[in-house]
Amino acid sequence: MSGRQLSCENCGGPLTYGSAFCAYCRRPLQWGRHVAIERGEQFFVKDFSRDPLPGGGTATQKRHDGALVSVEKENWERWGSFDPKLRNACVAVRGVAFDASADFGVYARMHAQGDAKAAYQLKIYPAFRSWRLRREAWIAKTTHVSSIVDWEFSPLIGGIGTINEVELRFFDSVFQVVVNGQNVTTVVDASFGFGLLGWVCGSHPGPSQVLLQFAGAWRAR
Amino acid sequence: MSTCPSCAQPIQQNAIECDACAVRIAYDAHGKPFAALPAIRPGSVLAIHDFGKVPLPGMTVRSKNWDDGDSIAATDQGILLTLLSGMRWFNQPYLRIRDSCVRACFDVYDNELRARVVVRKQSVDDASLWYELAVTPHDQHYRLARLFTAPEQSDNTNLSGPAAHQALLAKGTNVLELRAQGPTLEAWINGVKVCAVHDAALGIGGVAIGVGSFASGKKAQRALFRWLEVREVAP
Repeated sequence: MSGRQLSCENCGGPLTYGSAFCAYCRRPLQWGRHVAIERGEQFFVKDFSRDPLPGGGTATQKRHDGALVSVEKENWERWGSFDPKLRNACVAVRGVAFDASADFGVYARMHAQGDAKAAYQLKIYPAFRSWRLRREAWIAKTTHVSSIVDWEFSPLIGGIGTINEVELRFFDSVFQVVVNGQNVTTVVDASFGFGLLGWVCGSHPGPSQVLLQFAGAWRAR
Repeated sequence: MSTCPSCAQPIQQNAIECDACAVRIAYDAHGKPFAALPAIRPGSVLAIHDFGKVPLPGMTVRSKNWDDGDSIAATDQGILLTLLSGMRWFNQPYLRIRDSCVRACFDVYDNELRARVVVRKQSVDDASLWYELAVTPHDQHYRLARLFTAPEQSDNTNLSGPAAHQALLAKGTNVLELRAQGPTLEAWINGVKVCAVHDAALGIGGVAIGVGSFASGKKAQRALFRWLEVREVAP
């Protein structure tokens, strides 16, 4: 089954994954075990050797091969967001972690309740060739998190100094983690359903540097 | 180029669905787009709490005095809650659900009390997010909103209201109902649909009822909870 089948075959209406019927035409639905979400038409692509990196501020240094993001403090993050707000999409960033403290990844479905924000965050930690998917909610400088998948090794992730592309594909409550073009896992989580996309770079035991080369978003199908 | 009536982002001419928020779009006689929302129909009963007989959700007793002066007292009609300040929540602990119709029946006896029906209440560490239909019966106002709370701060985004609606009784018993199906939310008061919105931000979570006092000086505010009913959505 593909992400395309998250639209009703009868009326074309958007479906809720796992729902017993189409909310619009009331047709009963049956669901297979596997959903493959693929990239469709692009919403945007950004080459950070040419395009500005949104957010990041003065910690970002433009280079001929991308945007170098420095995270000066340990256990800290820098991030930025991309328009438009989306419900279903594939969002990817390509980058290089330059040290053992650096991780990077993407945000999806970042939405606000007044000044508070909540989102999904997918990151890879190249020093340990691990990835993590979690929910975040934050206000001011306090971030609350709940883990969906905690740091987990994947042989698909390259180490320090190598180029990695980390991608989150999501359609309704189905999420697919894709690293370097290969599917790592599929997760079903309906917590957050709509919002901005973003990039994130973080640090662990000490300051870190990540070269972000590229970001893109595509329709999910 | 038009904009989506739900998320206000650009949409293609004559688009039947917003690429961004996935709401279905229809057009009125003047060609103006509007969100075509599916009707949400209540289905089979998942849970009924008759507070004349059982404790409030998440509680094991029907009468209790808290240290801060708040209390609940069992009566034949339901459970009388007396609130001095802040808020009290009663979370149904076993129903983390996407699509549901939640109805609560209560009387509010004082003017500075807001009663709430909550769906999709979920925790992220010690922060919580949820949708609520909240009412202040004395001025017949309702509000459908998405809320965030954390120990350091709370905030909200209104989806409909605050606004007055005659379906809400200033005195006596009111029945509030919040229906959620996918990204569609409907608010009903005493059997009258007061609003329907498309909001895809929160997709799953628990069911709860709550009350909050906005009285100054710890003036006791009282409400009688009569019953709570949770239903599936029906085809």
